[in-house]
Amino acid sequence: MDSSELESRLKSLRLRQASAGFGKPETLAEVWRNANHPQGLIERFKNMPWKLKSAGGIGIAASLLAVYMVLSSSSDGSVAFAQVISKLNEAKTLSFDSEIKSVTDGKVLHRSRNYYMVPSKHRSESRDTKDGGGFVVLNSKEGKVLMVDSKRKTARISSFKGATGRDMAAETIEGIRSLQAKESRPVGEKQINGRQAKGFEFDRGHETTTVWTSVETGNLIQIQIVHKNVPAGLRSTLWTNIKLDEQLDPSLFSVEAPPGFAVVPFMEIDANASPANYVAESLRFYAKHNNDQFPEDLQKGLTALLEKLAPKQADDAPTEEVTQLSFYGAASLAAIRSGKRGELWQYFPDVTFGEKDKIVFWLHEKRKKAYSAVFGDLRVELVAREQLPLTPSN
Amino acid sequence: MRNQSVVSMSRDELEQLYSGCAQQLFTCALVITCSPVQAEDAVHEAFCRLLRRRVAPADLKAYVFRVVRNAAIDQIRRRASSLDSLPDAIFDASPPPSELAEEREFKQQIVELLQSMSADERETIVQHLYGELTFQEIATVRQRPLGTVTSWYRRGIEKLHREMEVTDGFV
Repeated sequence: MDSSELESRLKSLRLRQASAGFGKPETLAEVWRNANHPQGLIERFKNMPWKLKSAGGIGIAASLLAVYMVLSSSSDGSVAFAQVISKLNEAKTLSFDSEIKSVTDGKVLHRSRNYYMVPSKHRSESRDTKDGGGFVVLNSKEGKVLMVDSKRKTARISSFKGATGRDMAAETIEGIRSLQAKESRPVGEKQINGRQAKGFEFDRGHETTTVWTSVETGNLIQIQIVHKNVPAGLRSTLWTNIKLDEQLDPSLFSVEAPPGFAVVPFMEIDANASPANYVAESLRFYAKHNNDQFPEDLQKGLTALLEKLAPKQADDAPTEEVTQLSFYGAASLAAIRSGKRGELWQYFPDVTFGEKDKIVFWLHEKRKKAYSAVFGDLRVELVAREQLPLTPSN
Repeated sequence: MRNQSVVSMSRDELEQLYSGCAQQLFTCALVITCSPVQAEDAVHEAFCRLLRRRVAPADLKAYVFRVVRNAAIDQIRRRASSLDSLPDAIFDASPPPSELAEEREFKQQIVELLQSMSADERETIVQHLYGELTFQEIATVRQRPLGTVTSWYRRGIEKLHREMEVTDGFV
Protein backbone atom coordinates (compact mmCIF):
# COMPACT_ATOMS: atom_id res chain seq x y z
CA MET A 1 0.00 0.00 0.00
CA ASP A 2 1.47 3.34 -0.99
CA SER A 3 0.77 6.66 0.66
CA SER A 4 -2.15 7.50 -1.59
CA GLU A 5 -3.79 4.17 -0.81
CA LEU A 6 -3.22 4.80 2.87
CA GLU A 7 -4.84 8.20 2.56
CA SER A 8 -7.81 6.67 0.77
CA ARG A 9 -8.21 4.10 3.47
CA LEU A 10 -7.94 6.73 6.16
CA LYS A 11 -10.63 8.74 4.45
CA SER A 12 -12.92 5.74 4.40
CA LEU A 13 -13.02 5.52 8.19
CA ARG A 14 -16.37 6.40 9.66
CA LEU A 15 -16.26 9.64 11.57
CA ARG A 16 -18.06 10.43 14.76
CA GLN A 17 -21.27 12.30 14.07
CA ALA A 18 -22.38 15.43 15.85
CA SER A 19 -25.77 15.59 17.52
CA ALA A 20 -28.91 15.51 15.41
CA GLY A 21 -29.51 19.24 15.18
CA PHE A 22 -25.93 20.19 14.50
CA GLY A 23 -25.38 21.54 10.99
CA LYS A 24 -28.99 22.52 10.41
CA PRO A 25 -29.69 26.16 9.53
CA GLU A 26 -32.36 26.42 12.23
CA THR A 27 -29.83 25.36 14.85
CA LEU A 28 -27.47 28.11 13.78
CA ALA A 29 -30.33 30.60 13.76
CA GLU A 30 -31.16 29.65 17.34
CA VAL A 31 -27.49 29.92 18.35
CA TRP A 32 -27.35 33.41 16.90
CA ARG A 33 -30.55 34.42 18.61
CA ASN A 34 -29.23 33.19 21.97
CA ALA A 35 -25.94 34.96 21.39
CA ASN A 36 -27.75 38.23 20.96
CA HIS A 37 -29.59 37.61 24.19
CA PRO A 38 -27.11 35.92 26.48
CA GLN A 39 -28.54 33.84 29.22
CA GLY A 40 -27.72 34.83 32.72
CA LEU A 41 -29.64 35.28 35.87
CA ILE A 42 -31.90 37.78 34.20
CA GLU A 43 -32.79 35.37 31.45
CA ARG A 44 -33.47 32.65 33.97
CA PHE A 45 -36.00 34.79 35.70
CA LYS A 46 -38.26 34.66 32.71
CA ASN A 47 -40.63 32.18 34.25
CA MET A 48 -41.33 33.23 37.73
CA PRO A 49 -44.76 31.88 38.67
CA TRP A 50 -43.54 30.59 41.99
CA LYS A 51 -42.09 33.93 42.89
CA LEU A 52 -45.08 35.90 41.78
CA LYS A 53 -47.53 33.59 43.46
CA SER A 54 -45.90 33.92 46.80
CA ALA A 55 -44.81 37.51 46.51
CA GLY A 56 -47.32 38.89 48.96
CA GLY A 57 -46.26 36.60 51.75
CA ILE A 58 -42.54 36.88 51.43
CA GLY A 59 -41.49 40.48 51.25
CA ILE A 60 -41.92 43.05 48.63
CA ALA A 61 -38.29 43.91 48.10
CA ALA A 62 -36.97 40.67 46.72
CA SER A 63 -40.22 40.08 44.92
CA LEU A 64 -40.03 43.34 43.07
CA LEU A 65 -36.46 42.75 42.14
CA ALA A 66 -37.51 39.42 40.73
CA VAL A 67 -40.31 41.07 38.83
CA TYR A 68 -37.82 43.55 37.48
CA MET A 69 -35.85 40.63 36.16
CA VAL A 70 -38.95 39.25 34.50
CA LEU A 71 -39.72 42.52 32.83
CA SER A 72 -36.23 43.23 31.69
CA SER A 73 -35.97 39.84 30.09
CA SER A 74 -39.41 39.96 28.55
CA SER A 75 -38.28 42.61 26.14
CA ASP A 76 -35.76 40.28 24.62
CA GLY A 77 -38.10 39.08 21.90
CA SER A 78 -36.55 39.06 18.48
CA VAL A 79 -39.48 40.89 17.08
CA ALA A 80 -39.77 43.60 14.52
CA PHE A 81 -42.12 46.07 13.04
CA ALA A 82 -40.59 48.59 10.74
CA GLN A 83 -43.06 51.34 11.54
CA VAL A 84 -42.00 51.50 15.12
CA ILE A 85 -38.28 51.30 14.69
CA SER A 86 -37.78 54.86 13.57
CA LYS A 87 -39.61 56.05 16.66
CA LEU A 88 -37.35 53.99 18.85
CA ASN A 89 -34.08 55.03 17.29
CA GLU A 90 -33.69 58.13 19.38
CA ALA A 91 -35.72 57.06 22.39
CA LYS A 92 -34.12 57.82 25.73
CA THR A 93 -36.99 56.85 27.96
CA LEU A 94 -39.61 54.15 27.92
CA SER A 95 -42.42 53.47 30.32
CA PHE A 96 -45.36 51.10 30.38
CA ASP A 97 -47.87 49.36 32.60
CA SER A 98 -47.29 45.66 32.95
CA GLU A 99 -49.78 43.01 33.92
CA ILE A 100 -48.81 39.39 34.36
CA LYS A 101 -51.62 36.90 34.51
CA SER A 102 -52.50 33.28 34.10
CA VAL A 103 -53.97 32.61 30.69
CA THR A 104 -55.66 29.50 32.03
CA ASP A 105 -57.89 31.15 34.62
CA GLY A 106 -57.38 34.83 33.89
CA LYS A 107 -56.06 35.50 37.38
CA VAL A 108 -53.84 38.57 37.59
CA LEU A 109 -50.55 37.72 39.28
CA HIS A 110 -48.82 41.05 39.28
CA ARG A 111 -49.25 44.61 38.11
CA SER A 112 -46.57 47.24 37.86
CA ARG A 113 -45.53 50.46 36.16
CA ASN A 114 -42.07 50.40 34.68
CA TYR A 115 -39.77 53.22 33.73
CA TYR A 116 -36.53 53.09 31.80
CA MET A 117 -34.14 55.95 31.24
CA VAL A 118 -30.97 55.74 29.20
CA PRO A 119 -28.36 55.35 30.45
CA SER A 120 -28.74 52.50 32.85
CA LYS A 121 -31.76 53.38 34.94
CA HIS A 122 -34.84 51.35 35.63
CA ARG A 123 -37.69 51.66 38.09
CA SER A 124 -40.49 49.20 38.66
CA GLU A 125 -43.42 50.20 40.86
CA SER A 126 -45.72 47.56 42.19
CA ARG A 127 -49.40 48.23 41.59
CA ASP A 128 -50.54 45.30 43.67
CA THR A 129 -52.68 46.67 46.46
CA LYS A 130 -52.20 43.58 48.61
CA ASP A 131 -48.49 44.31 48.72
CA GLY A 132 -49.09 47.78 50.01
CA GLY A 133 -46.91 49.20 47.30
CA GLY A 134 -43.22 49.23 46.79
CA PHE A 135 -40.70 49.76 44.11
CA VAL A 136 -37.29 48.81 42.85
CA VAL A 137 -34.80 51.20 41.31
CA LEU A 138 -31.85 49.77 39.54
CA ASN A 139 -28.92 51.73 38.24
CA SER A 140 -26.70 49.28 36.43
CA LYS A 141 -24.09 51.89 35.62
CA GLU A 142 -23.61 52.68 39.28
CA GLY A 143 -24.08 49.03 40.17
CA LYS A 144 -26.73 49.79 42.78
CA VAL A 145 -30.21 48.57 43.43
CA LEU A 146 -32.78 50.06 45.81
CA MET A 147 -35.70 47.94 46.96
CA VAL A 148 -38.40 49.76 48.83
CA ASP A 149 -41.17 48.16 50.83
CA SER A 150 -43.67 50.97 51.24
CA LYS A 151 -45.92 48.98 53.51
CA ARG A 152 -43.24 48.35 56.09
CA LYS A 153 -41.28 51.55 55.46
CA THR A 154 -38.06 49.72 54.76
CA ALA A 155 -35.47 50.18 52.06
CA ARG A 156 -32.85 47.68 51.02
CA ILE A 157 -29.84 48.98 49.19
CA SER A 158 -27.54 46.55 47.55
CA SER A 159 -24.70 46.52 45.12
CA PHE A 160 -25.53 44.98 41.80
CA LYS A 161 -22.34 43.25 40.84
CA GLY A 162 -21.64 42.46 37.23
CA ALA A 163 -24.07 44.95 35.80
CA THR A 164 -21.87 48.03 35.68
CA GLY A 165 -20.93 47.48 32.07
CA ARG A 166 -24.51 47.10 30.99
CA ASP A 167 -27.19 49.57 30.21
CA MET A 168 -30.38 47.70 30.91
CA ALA A 169 -32.53 50.65 29.97
CA ALA A 170 -30.90 50.83 26.56
CA GLU A 171 -31.10 47.07 26.23
CA THR A 172 -34.81 47.13 26.85
CA ILE A 173 -35.40 49.77 24.21
CA GLU A 174 -32.97 48.01 21.91
CA GLY A 175 -34.84 44.78 22.53
CA ILE A 176 -37.85 46.28 20.84
CA ARG A 177 -35.85 48.19 18.28
CA SER A 178 -33.96 45.12 17.14
CA LEU A 179 -37.10 43.44 15.97
CA GLN A 180 -36.88 42.41 12.39
CA ALA A 181 -39.93 42.70 10.25
CA LYS A 182 -39.19 39.56 8.27
CA GLU A 183 -39.63 37.42 11.35
CA SER A 184 -43.12 38.66 12.05
CA ARG A 185 -46.50 37.72 10.68
CA PRO A 186 -49.43 40.14 10.52
CA VAL A 187 -52.44 39.25 12.62
CA GLY A 188 -54.82 41.86 11.28
CA GLU A 189 -56.29 44.95 12.85
CA LYS A 190 -58.48 45.66 15.85
CA GLN A 191 -59.69 48.51 18.01
CA ILE A 192 -57.79 49.11 21.23
CA ASN A 193 -59.24 51.85 23.42
CA GLY A 194 -60.80 53.51 20.39
CA ARG A 195 -57.64 53.40 18.32
CA GLN A 196 -57.26 51.29 15.21
CA ALA A 197 -54.29 49.01 15.75
CA LYS A 198 -52.34 46.71 13.47
CA GLY A 199 -50.89 43.54 14.98
CA PHE A 200 -47.67 41.61 14.35
CA GLU A 201 -46.96 38.25 15.91
CA PHE A 202 -43.55 36.71 16.55
CA ASP A 203 -42.34 33.41 17.93
CA ARG A 204 -39.18 33.05 19.89
CA GLY A 205 -38.38 29.96 21.88
CA HIS A 206 -41.16 29.38 24.34
CA GLU A 207 -42.71 32.78 23.81
CA THR A 208 -45.13 34.30 21.39
CA THR A 209 -45.10 38.07 21.27
CA THR A 210 -47.83 40.16 19.71
CA VAL A 211 -47.16 43.82 19.08
CA TRP A 212 -49.99 46.22 18.33
CA THR A 213 -49.19 49.56 16.75
CA SER A 214 -51.37 52.48 15.83
CA VAL A 215 -52.46 52.37 12.20
CA GLU A 216 -52.55 56.14 12.19
CA THR A 217 -49.28 57.06 13.90
CA GLY A 218 -47.22 53.88 14.07
CA ASN A 219 -46.90 54.31 17.84
CA LEU A 220 -46.73 51.29 20.08
CA ILE A 221 -50.06 50.60 21.71
CA GLN A 222 -49.72 47.20 23.30
CA ILE A 223 -47.28 44.32 23.60
CA GLN A 224 -48.35 40.91 24.79
CA ILE A 225 -45.91 38.12 25.53
CA VAL A 226 -47.29 34.63 26.13
CA HIS A 227 -44.92 32.37 28.03
CA LYS A 228 -45.61 28.78 27.09
CA ASN A 229 -43.24 26.73 29.18
CA VAL A 230 -44.62 27.44 32.60
CA PRO A 231 -45.66 24.17 34.27
CA ALA A 232 -48.66 25.75 35.94
CA GLY A 233 -50.07 26.81 32.56
CA LEU A 234 -49.73 29.64 30.08
CA ARG A 235 -48.73 33.01 31.49
CA SER A 236 -48.99 36.28 29.67
CA THR A 237 -47.35 39.62 30.18
CA LEU A 238 -49.25 42.58 28.79
CA TRP A 239 -47.64 45.99 28.31
CA THR A 240 -50.01 48.90 27.88
CA ASN A 241 -49.89 52.66 28.22
CA ILE A 242 -46.52 52.56 26.48
CA LYS A 243 -44.76 55.90 26.33
CA LEU A 244 -41.56 56.73 24.52
CA ASP A 245 -39.42 59.73 25.30
CA GLU A 246 -41.73 61.28 27.85
CA GLN A 247 -40.05 63.64 30.29
CA LEU A 248 -39.26 61.64 33.41
CA ASP A 249 -38.19 63.16 36.71
CA PRO A 250 -34.60 62.01 37.35
CA SER A 251 -35.43 61.67 41.05
CA LEU A 252 -37.55 58.67 40.13
CA PHE A 253 -34.29 56.82 39.63
CA SER A 254 -32.60 57.77 42.89
CA VAL A 255 -31.02 54.79 44.61
CA GLU A 256 -31.11 56.49 48.02
CA ALA A 257 -33.61 55.42 50.65
CA PRO A 258 -36.70 57.66 50.82
CA PRO A 259 -36.80 59.94 53.89
CA GLY A 260 -38.23 58.19 56.92
CA PHE A 261 -37.54 54.69 55.64
CA ALA A 262 -35.40 52.30 57.63
CA VAL A 263 -32.44 51.00 55.69
CA VAL A 264 -32.12 47.25 55.91
CA PRO A 265 -28.94 45.55 54.72
CA PHE A 266 -29.27 43.18 51.85
CA MET A 267 -26.94 40.78 50.17
CA GLU A 268 -24.95 41.70 47.11
CA ILE A 269 -26.63 40.66 43.90
CA ASP A 270 -24.58 39.28 41.07
CA ALA A 271 -26.24 39.84 37.72
CA ASN A 272 -23.96 37.31 36.08
CA ALA A 273 -24.12 34.61 38.72
CA SER A 274 -25.03 31.15 37.61
CA PRO A 275 -28.40 29.98 38.85
CA ALA A 276 -26.47 26.95 40.10
CA ASN A 277 -25.04 29.23 42.79
CA TYR A 278 -28.56 30.06 43.88
CA VAL A 279 -29.51 26.39 43.90
CA ALA A 280 -26.52 25.80 46.17
CA GLU A 281 -27.63 28.57 48.51
CA SER A 282 -31.20 27.28 48.49
CA LEU A 283 -29.96 23.80 49.38
CA ARG A 284 -27.88 25.30 52.16
CA PHE A 285 -31.01 26.88 53.61
CA TYR A 286 -32.90 23.63 53.21
CA ALA A 287 -30.22 21.56 54.90
CA LYS A 288 -29.99 24.04 57.74
CA HIS A 289 -33.67 23.68 58.51
CA ASN A 290 -33.92 19.95 57.83
CA ASN A 291 -31.20 18.27 59.84
CA ASP A 292 -28.57 18.50 57.11
CA GLN A 293 -30.77 16.68 54.63
CA PHE A 294 -31.37 17.60 51.00
CA PRO A 295 -34.96 17.46 49.70
CA GLU A 296 -36.26 14.43 47.89
CA ASP A 297 -37.78 16.75 45.32
CA LEU A 298 -36.03 20.07 44.74
CA GLN A 299 -39.06 22.04 43.67
CA LYS A 300 -41.40 20.73 46.34
CA GLY A 301 -38.74 20.93 49.00
CA LEU A 302 -37.90 24.58 48.43
CA THR A 303 -41.54 25.57 48.17
CA ALA A 304 -42.33 23.77 51.43
CA LEU A 305 -39.39 25.42 53.17
CA LEU A 306 -40.49 28.85 52.09
CA GLU A 307 -44.00 28.25 53.30
CA LYS A 308 -42.64 26.99 56.59
CA LEU A 309 -40.48 30.06 57.15
CA ALA A 310 -42.82 32.69 55.73
CA PRO A 311 -44.39 35.14 58.20
CA LYS A 312 -47.53 33.73 59.76
CA GLN A 313 -49.40 37.00 59.47
CA ALA A 314 -49.61 38.99 56.28
CA ASP A 315 -48.51 42.15 58.05
CA ASP A 316 -45.47 40.58 59.64
CA ALA A 317 -42.19 41.60 58.12
CA PRO A 318 -40.25 38.72 56.62
CA THR A 319 -36.93 37.93 58.20
CA GLU A 320 -33.77 38.59 56.27
CA GLU A 321 -33.32 34.88 55.91
CA VAL A 322 -36.72 34.51 54.30
CA THR A 323 -36.05 37.41 51.98
CA GLN A 324 -32.81 35.85 50.88
CA LEU A 325 -34.39 32.45 50.51
CA SER A 326 -37.16 33.94 48.39
CA PHE A 327 -34.54 35.37 46.09
CA TYR A 328 -32.42 32.22 45.92
CA GLY A 329 -35.45 29.98 45.65
CA ALA A 330 -36.98 32.04 42.87
CA ALA A 331 -33.77 31.88 40.90
CA SER A 332 -33.42 28.16 41.49
CA LEU A 333 -36.94 27.30 40.48
CA ALA A 334 -36.89 29.65 37.52
CA ALA A 335 -33.76 27.89 36.36
CA ILE A 336 -35.13 24.39 36.58
CA ARG A 337 -38.44 25.41 35.08
CA SER A 338 -36.79 26.90 32.04
CA GLY A 339 -35.69 23.55 30.64
CA LYS A 340 -36.06 19.82 30.77
CA ARG A 341 -34.67 17.72 33.56
CA GLY A 342 -31.84 15.63 32.18
CA GLU A 343 -31.13 18.15 29.43
CA LEU A 344 -30.82 21.52 31.11
CA TRP A 345 -30.42 20.33 34.68
CA GLN A 346 -30.42 17.32 36.95
CA TYR A 347 -30.87 16.81 40.67
CA PHE A 348 -29.54 13.88 42.69
CA PRO A 349 -31.44 13.55 45.98
CA ASP A 350 -29.33 10.60 47.13
CA VAL A 351 -26.30 12.80 47.70
CA THR A 352 -25.70 13.63 51.34
CA PHE A 353 -24.95 17.11 52.58
CA GLY A 354 -21.18 17.43 52.85
CA GLU A 355 -20.24 14.82 50.26
CA LYS A 356 -17.62 16.83 48.45
CA ASP A 357 -16.99 14.33 45.66
CA LYS A 358 -20.58 13.91 44.55
CA ILE A 359 -22.63 16.21 42.37
CA VAL A 360 -26.05 16.96 43.79
CA PHE A 361 -27.17 19.28 41.00
CA TRP A 362 -25.95 20.35 37.60
CA LEU A 363 -27.09 22.95 35.16
CA HIS A 364 -26.14 23.28 31.51
CA GLU A 365 -24.64 26.74 31.13
CA LYS A 366 -25.21 27.42 27.47
CA ARG A 367 -23.52 30.78 27.65
CA LYS A 368 -20.40 29.30 29.22
CA LYS A 369 -20.58 26.20 27.06
CA ALA A 370 -20.12 24.06 30.14
CA TYR A 371 -21.94 22.63 33.12
CA SER A 372 -22.17 24.21 36.55
CA ALA A 373 -22.12 21.49 39.14
CA VAL A 374 -23.18 21.81 42.76
CA PHE A 375 -21.32 19.30 44.90
CA GLY A 376 -22.50 17.81 48.17
CA ASP A 377 -20.47 20.35 50.12
CA LEU A 378 -22.32 23.03 48.12
CA ARG A 379 -19.35 24.38 46.27
CA VAL A 380 -20.05 25.19 42.63
CA GLU A 381 -17.65 24.36 39.82
CA LEU A 382 -17.70 24.29 36.06
CA VAL A 383 -17.30 20.75 34.80
CA ALA A 384 -17.23 18.98 31.45
CA ARG A 385 -20.17 16.92 30.37
CA GLU A 386 -18.13 13.78 30.77
CA GLN A 387 -17.80 14.48 34.48
CA LEU A 388 -21.52 14.47 35.09
CA PRO A 389 -22.90 11.45 36.93
CA LEU A 390 -25.45 9.21 35.34
CA THR A 391 -29.01 10.33 35.78
CA PRO A 392 -31.01 8.67 38.56
CA SER A 393 -33.02 6.73 35.99
CA ASN A 394 -29.78 5.19 34.71
CA MET B 1 -30.19 48.64 13.41
CA ARG B 2 -26.84 47.63 14.85
CA ASN B 3 -24.57 45.78 12.41
CA GLN B 4 -27.48 45.11 10.11
CA SER B 5 -25.55 45.78 6.91
CA VAL B 6 -22.72 43.52 7.96
CA VAL B 7 -25.03 40.77 9.14
CA SER B 8 -27.13 40.80 6.00
CA MET B 9 -23.97 40.72 3.89
CA SER B 10 -22.41 37.60 5.33
CA ARG B 11 -25.20 35.76 7.08
CA ASP B 12 -26.20 33.62 4.12
CA GLU B 13 -22.61 32.68 3.37
CA LEU B 14 -22.06 31.74 6.97
CA GLU B 15 -25.21 29.63 7.00
CA GLN B 16 -24.09 27.84 3.87
CA LEU B 17 -20.68 27.15 5.31
CA TYR B 18 -22.19 25.95 8.57
CA SER B 19 -24.55 23.54 6.82
CA GLY B 20 -22.20 22.49 4.07
CA CYS B 21 -19.12 21.95 6.21
CA ALA B 22 -20.78 20.83 9.42
CA GLN B 23 -19.05 17.47 9.62
CA GLN B 24 -15.65 18.88 8.65
CA LEU B 25 -15.89 21.73 11.15
CA PHE B 26 -17.05 19.37 13.87
CA THR B 27 -14.21 16.90 13.25
CA CYS B 28 -11.55 19.60 13.14
CA ALA B 29 -12.82 21.00 16.43
CA LEU B 30 -13.12 17.52 17.90
CA VAL B 31 -9.47 16.66 17.29
CA ILE B 32 -8.63 19.61 19.54
CA THR B 33 -11.28 19.35 22.24
CA CYS B 34 -11.59 15.53 22.32
CA SER B 35 -15.11 16.23 23.48
CA PRO B 36 -18.05 16.10 21.06
CA VAL B 37 -20.07 18.51 23.15
CA GLN B 38 -17.26 21.01 23.33
CA ALA B 39 -16.56 20.58 19.65
CA GLU B 40 -20.14 21.52 18.84
CA ASP B 41 -19.97 24.40 21.28
CA ALA B 42 -16.73 25.59 19.72
CA VAL B 43 -18.28 25.64 16.26
CA HIS B 44 -21.31 27.53 17.50
CA GLU B 45 -19.22 29.95 19.50
CA ALA B 46 -17.13 30.57 16.40
CA PHE B 47 -20.16 31.34 14.29
CA CYS B 48 -21.33 33.83 16.90
CA ARG B 49 -17.95 35.53 16.69
CA LEU B 50 -18.14 35.46 12.91
CA LEU B 51 -21.55 37.07 12.91
CA ARG B 52 -20.15 40.01 14.83
CA ARG B 53 -17.29 40.49 12.41
CA ARG B 54 -17.61 43.64 10.39
CA VAL B 55 -15.34 43.01 7.42
CA ALA B 56 -15.60 39.94 5.25
CA PRO B 57 -12.25 38.08 5.05
CA ALA B 58 -10.62 37.30 1.72
CA ASP B 59 -10.89 33.53 2.21
CA LEU B 60 -14.07 33.00 4.16
CA LYS B 61 -13.80 29.21 4.39
CA ALA B 62 -10.28 29.24 5.79
CA TYR B 63 -11.20 32.07 8.11
CA VAL B 64 -14.19 30.14 9.46
CA PHE B 65 -12.03 27.11 10.17
CA ARG B 66 -9.51 29.36 11.88
CA VAL B 67 -12.12 30.91 14.14
CA VAL B 68 -13.50 27.46 14.94
CA ARG B 69 -9.99 26.29 15.81
CA ASN B 70 -9.47 29.26 18.12
CA ALA B 71 -12.81 28.62 19.76
CA ALA B 72 -11.90 24.97 20.28
CA ILE B 73 -8.63 25.98 21.92
CA ASP B 74 -10.55 28.39 24.12
CA GLN B 75 -12.84 25.54 25.08
CA ILE B 76 -10.03 23.39 26.38
CA ARG B 77 -8.48 26.35 28.19
CA ARG B 78 -11.75 26.99 29.99
CA ARG B 79 -12.24 23.37 30.87
CA ALA B 80 -12.28 22.82 34.61
CA SER B 81 -10.32 19.61 34.36
CA SER B 82 -8.36 18.01 31.58
CA LEU B 83 -9.97 15.25 29.61
CA ASP B 84 -8.04 12.32 28.33
CA SER B 85 -6.59 13.15 24.98
CA LEU B 86 -8.31 10.60 22.82
CA PRO B 87 -7.91 11.00 19.10
CA ASP B 88 -10.35 8.17 18.57
CA ALA B 89 -13.00 10.73 19.49
CA ILE B 90 -13.01 11.77 15.85
CA PHE B 91 -14.02 8.29 14.73
CA ASP B 92 -17.38 6.68 15.12
CA ALA B 93 -17.47 5.24 18.63
CA SER B 94 -20.29 2.83 17.85
CA PRO B 95 -19.65 1.38 14.41
CA PRO B 96 -22.32 -0.74 12.78
CA PRO B 97 -22.25 -4.50 13.36
CA SER B 98 -21.43 -4.89 9.69
CA GLU B 99 -18.02 -3.32 10.18
CA LEU B 100 -15.44 -5.99 9.55
CA ALA B 101 -12.96 -7.00 12.18
CA GLU B 102 -10.19 -5.96 9.83
CA GLU B 103 -11.61 -2.46 9.60
CA ARG B 104 -11.95 -2.23 13.35
CA GLU B 105 -8.37 -3.34 13.75
CA PHE B 106 -7.17 -0.83 11.17
CA LYS B 107 -9.04 1.96 12.91
CA GLN B 108 -7.63 1.01 16.25
CA GLN B 109 -4.11 1.07 14.85
CA ILE B 110 -4.69 4.47 13.32
CA VAL B 111 -6.04 5.75 16.61
CA GLU B 112 -2.95 4.61 18.45
CA LEU B 113 -0.61 6.03 15.84
CA LEU B 114 -2.38 9.35 15.72
CA GLN B 115 -2.08 9.49 19.47
CA SER B 116 1.64 8.93 19.30
CA MET B 117 2.42 11.69 16.81
CA SER B 118 2.77 15.39 17.51
CA ALA B 119 -0.34 17.54 17.88
CA ASP B 120 0.66 19.56 14.81
CA GLU B 121 1.02 16.47 12.66
CA ARG B 122 -2.19 14.93 13.96
CA GLU B 123 -4.23 18.08 13.49
CA THR B 124 -2.85 18.66 10.01
CA ILE B 125 -3.78 15.14 8.92
CA VAL B 126 -7.28 15.57 10.30
CA GLN B 127 -7.69 19.00 8.73
CA HIS B 128 -6.58 17.75 5.32
CA LEU B 129 -8.24 14.35 5.20
CA TYR B 130 -11.39 14.97 7.21
CA GLY B 131 -11.68 18.75 7.17
CA GLU B 132 -11.16 18.67 3.42
CA LEU B 133 -8.90 21.70 3.57
CA THR B 134 -6.14 22.31 1.08
CA PHE B 135 -2.64 22.82 2.44
CA GLN B 136 -2.90 26.47 1.56
CA GLU B 137 -6.13 26.73 3.53
CA ILE B 138 -4.54 24.92 6.46
CA ALA B 139 -1.64 27.35 6.33
CA THR B 140 -4.15 30.19 6.54
CA VAL B 141 -6.04 28.52 9.37
CA ARG B 142 -2.91 27.82 11.38
CA GLN B 143 -1.14 31.02 10.31
CA ARG B 144 1.96 29.08 9.44
CA PRO B 145 4.01 28.90 6.22
CA LEU B 146 2.78 26.50 3.58
CA GLY B 147 6.04 24.56 3.78
CA THR B 148 5.64 23.99 7.48
CA VAL B 149 2.14 22.66 7.03
CA THR B 150 3.09 20.31 4.24
CA SER B 151 6.02 19.07 6.34
CA TRP B 152 3.74 18.32 9.25
CA TYR B 153 1.44 16.40 6.98
CA ARG B 154 4.18 14.52 5.18
CA ARG B 155 5.90 13.54 8.40
CA GLY B 156 2.65 12.39 9.92
CA ILE B 157 1.67 10.29 6.94
CA GLU B 158 5.15 8.82 6.75
CA LYS B 159 4.91 7.81 10.38
CA LEU B 160 1.59 6.15 9.75
CA HIS B 161 2.94 4.46 6.66
CA ARG B 162 6.07 3.25 8.39
CA GLU B 163 4.33 2.02 11.50
CA MET B 164 1.62 0.26 9.56
CA GLU B 165 4.22 -1.55 7.52
CA VAL B 166 6.04 -2.59 10.67
CA THR B 167 2.85 -3.62 12.40
CA ASP B 168 1.21 -5.77 9.81
CA GLY B 169 2.69 -5.13 6.43
CA PHE B 170 -0.52 -3.56 5.20
CA VAL B 171 -2.69 -6.61 5.20
